[in-house]
Amino acid sequence: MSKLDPDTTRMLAEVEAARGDLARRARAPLWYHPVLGLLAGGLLAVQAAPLAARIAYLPLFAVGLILLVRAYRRKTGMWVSGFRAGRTRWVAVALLVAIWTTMGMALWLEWQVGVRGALLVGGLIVAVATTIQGLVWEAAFRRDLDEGGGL
Amino acid sequence: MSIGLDPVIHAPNRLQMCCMLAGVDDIDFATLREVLDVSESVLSKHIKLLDEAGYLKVRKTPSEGRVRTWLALTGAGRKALTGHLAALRSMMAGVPEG
Repeated sequence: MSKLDPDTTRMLAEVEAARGDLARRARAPLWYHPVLGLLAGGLLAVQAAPLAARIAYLPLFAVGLILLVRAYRRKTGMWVSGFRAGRTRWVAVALLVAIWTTMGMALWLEWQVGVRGALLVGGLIVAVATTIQGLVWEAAFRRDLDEGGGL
Repeated sequence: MSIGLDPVIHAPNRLQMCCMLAGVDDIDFATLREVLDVSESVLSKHIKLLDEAGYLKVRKTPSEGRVRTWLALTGAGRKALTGHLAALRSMMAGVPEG
């Protein structure tokens, strides 16, 4: 063992402590994930509405996302990409695949097969999936930070 | 300073800062100061050193009538941190660094 070991050990322990502290702060407001879910689900559900409503929803969706980012930054004092390295990337990719699959299926069922209500049900599924995956993502992020992952 | 250790990162507070920044996109000054439990002037000095080394990107944004400072690790900073941590771990293991 090198004679620098006590210093090195202390230094690494301090790094872990700081990352643990950061992990505890990385909690979005309680309403954050449900609102994100509603916005994402709404994007699909609104496709059942007339063209004017579909177009009107887009700026609402964009403003909603901007406000969510602001709220997250204000609450946690940080911003994290959903696709950052670590467990979080897998959760984000899984969510994206689930959303795209649900959206594709719902659009196909409603517009091609003629199943009425498919877009609304699809929107509901996307909303719930986004909310749950958001919470799972956050837990994965905290675990990554605690364990020093994603470096 | 041992081979592989980066003198800019080596100070405990700066190492903590870099490790935290590596886990996120950016962190604001106030949050970092709270986590590190240091004064504003101490943190500012660390930021200046890391910034001058090209390891840190500093961005200021207006927020509710005041300016908020956001800090992010650059690609060079991330690379330097990875090398520094590898050197620390090899010292821990008692293995000479290549």
